[in-house]
Amino acid sequence: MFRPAAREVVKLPTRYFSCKSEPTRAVTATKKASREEIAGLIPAFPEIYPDFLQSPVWNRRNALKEELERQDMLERRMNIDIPEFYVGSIVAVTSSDKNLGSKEHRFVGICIRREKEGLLHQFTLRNTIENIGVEVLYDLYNPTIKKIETLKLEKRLDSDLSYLVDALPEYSTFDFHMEPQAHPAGTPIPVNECKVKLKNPPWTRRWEISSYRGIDDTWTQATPWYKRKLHKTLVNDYEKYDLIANYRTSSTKEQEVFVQTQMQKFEKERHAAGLTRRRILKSAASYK
Amino acid sequence: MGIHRRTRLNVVDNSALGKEADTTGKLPYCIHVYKQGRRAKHMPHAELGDKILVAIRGQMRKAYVVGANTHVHYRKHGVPVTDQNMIVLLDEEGNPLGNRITAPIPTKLMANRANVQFSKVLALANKYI
Amino acid sequence: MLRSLISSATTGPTQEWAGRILLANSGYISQQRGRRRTLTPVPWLPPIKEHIPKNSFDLSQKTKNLLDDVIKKETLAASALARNDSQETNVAIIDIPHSSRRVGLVVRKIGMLPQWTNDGNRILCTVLEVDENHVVSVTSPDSWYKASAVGKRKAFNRHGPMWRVTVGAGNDDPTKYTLAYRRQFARAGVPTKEKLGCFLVTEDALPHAGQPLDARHFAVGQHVTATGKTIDWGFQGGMHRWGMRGQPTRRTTKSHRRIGSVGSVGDARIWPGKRMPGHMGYEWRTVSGLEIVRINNDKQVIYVKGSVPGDIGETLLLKDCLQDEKRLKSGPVPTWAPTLETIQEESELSPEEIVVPKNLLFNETFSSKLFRFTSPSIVFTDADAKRATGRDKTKAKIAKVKK
Repeated sequence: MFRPAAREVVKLPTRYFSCKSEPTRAVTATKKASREEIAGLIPAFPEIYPDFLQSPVWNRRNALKEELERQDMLERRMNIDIPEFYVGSIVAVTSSDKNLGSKEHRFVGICIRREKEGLLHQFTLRNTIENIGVEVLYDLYNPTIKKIETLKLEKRLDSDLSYLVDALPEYSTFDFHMEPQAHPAGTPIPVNECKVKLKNPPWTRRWEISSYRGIDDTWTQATPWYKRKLHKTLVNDYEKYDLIANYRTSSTKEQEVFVQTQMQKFEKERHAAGLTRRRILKSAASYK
Repeated sequence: MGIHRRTRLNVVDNSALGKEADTTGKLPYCIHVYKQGRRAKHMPHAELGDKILVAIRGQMRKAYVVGANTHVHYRKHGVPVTDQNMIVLLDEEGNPLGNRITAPIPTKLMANRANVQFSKVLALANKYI
Repeated sequence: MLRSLISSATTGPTQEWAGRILLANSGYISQQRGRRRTLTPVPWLPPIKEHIPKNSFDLSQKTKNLLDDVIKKETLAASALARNDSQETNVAIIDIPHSSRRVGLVVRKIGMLPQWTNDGNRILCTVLEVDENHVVSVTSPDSWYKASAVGKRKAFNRHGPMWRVTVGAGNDDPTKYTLAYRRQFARAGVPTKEKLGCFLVTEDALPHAGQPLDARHFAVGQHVTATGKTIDWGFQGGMHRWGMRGQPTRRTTKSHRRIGSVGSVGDARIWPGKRMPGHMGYEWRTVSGLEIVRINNDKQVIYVKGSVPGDIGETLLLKDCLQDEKRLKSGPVPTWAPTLETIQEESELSPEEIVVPKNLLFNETFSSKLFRFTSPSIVFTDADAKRATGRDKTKAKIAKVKK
């Protein structure tokens, strides 16, 4: 439910309890910049930089290791422009391939998933070439990647578009020579609310019992056998009650602020040294 | 995890045998993988670029795997994964049956250029993914 | 997974081998007897942690502050003493003879990170932190032989007389420990340590008590051996512990992950050593031949290619690899000291390359094959493509004879 628009809620940087950071709400152009944004921090940090989140396995969180990893990640970001993209955005990746020699290898596709934290962060792009669906996995910090461009910046209803495998090919087809569509700075990220139609079953996964919002009516298409077996039980329905899972995967405000201040410091040092003018910490939905 | 016995495959070259199999709906299926295994009495799974023996239309043919549908947890950076398992048929001597490959081929296969048999298959490819 | 129950004293396996020795002496070993793991230290060792009940005494805040101050100053003084001492020791980078054994380091595993080579291949590296290592005591072979049963086995073995060097890691608050435990550190002039580890060292590579050990004791490109307790999996069933196959999901009643049969009618008993459910993990294991790819001198961190035994946060002993081809040929003996620090000359760089000033980066040494994130993306050339094609394995490999 939306808060009353008259009163602006000011987010304080210190909190006495840690809770899940709120995603960017409908920020209109007329709203004033919050205290965070004035400090140069981004409220939607975990969405834009999912690789800077901490490991969901509690045992693997170690401040020193994260610091060393962050240093490597920021160095890489200073050398190559890693743009902002979400699951559902159309991305083009130009990489150098050993087998091709001096020729570059370019792949354009829709980002269907982004996984893992830190230097291991991966994203998969999907496209349909000559009626054959192709998915390519890329390590975000692999040094053979020369360029990553976001051709169209948008979000979808789900954070994981694996169902495009079983969807009609038109939903995964994107032109290789697509022109990049610029996103006007300051506007919120558009959410593409299209509902995808699936091919006839059998499917690779049980989409009819999963709770993906981007699929258009799986139940009628699903085979009668499965309908008989599980009368509308949803897999993963319990996940909204799993508070510990939420605690593990989400980040705290303190951690976000800490990482962002480290990034700002890194940026400032490199700018001062006169090496690059590249900005690492930026958000397409912010005012700057 | 990979392509093993009974895995049905799609033929991607323009050979007559492949087209017949596709139209009748009786897809070729793998019956043997020509690969060195690590476990006794267990045939290893075929991946991208491996040679396999398939059964089509009542006959046995050798084929090269040109596109594989690997599970998410086994995927590697930069290696394209196709929705279908695609093969290119070979005849008895080892020469490819068709003279063109319709589907795009991953560039990773170009690493096997040195292999004479495989280079003939690569010569037919016109689009690299 | 359970956290490790044992406290700091890790002196290597003792009890589990005792059974084997007795059997060996009798001349006939039939089954592997003896314990696989020791969860508690031997009962005759004095306690290490000082158990102070909460309501036993009440210090006023002023006294507490004074105590903290004194402890801090003592720790600083001890570290400074050790550091100054090390300036005087004779350290040199020499060729290490085959029979020499150097000290090792007591490191903590803090995680695993991917690194990339200049060829574009990914290496998963374990990150090991060297946390304030100091040599705590040095025992000669004779006194070690007289003092303990372990000494009788290890002091004079086929590699020659070995000195026992105890290394401590991780400065800790001395009030947590008993006087007996603290005494060994006071004697060496070293702050109280959390973890201890012992190494067998030959006389020609002997450090002195109180010497600080640095991560640069090892060199980039060198191979090391990591020894430690494996992950503690707790009580595990036959399928996970021994890789048993279990029983099918359908067609069986109430039996899916059980061990099934435990023997035959003829034997009329269960063979000792039968694989059954039980405690899994937390065993002492060694992984050898791991290559060091990167050392961070500022943070005292070693990146090692591959995996090591143990969970993240657990302690390991790191030693030089003894395999013939991976042996260290020359290195700092007995250990690295700041006097050995050489000022790296600025290599000639082309004007196009952007160099990041040294004060913004960590003081690190990289392996030559490792990709540094400060350099731009890897770009391949046609020569690389030619080299990338493998050998045609369907043809026999025939040697080219030069005429």
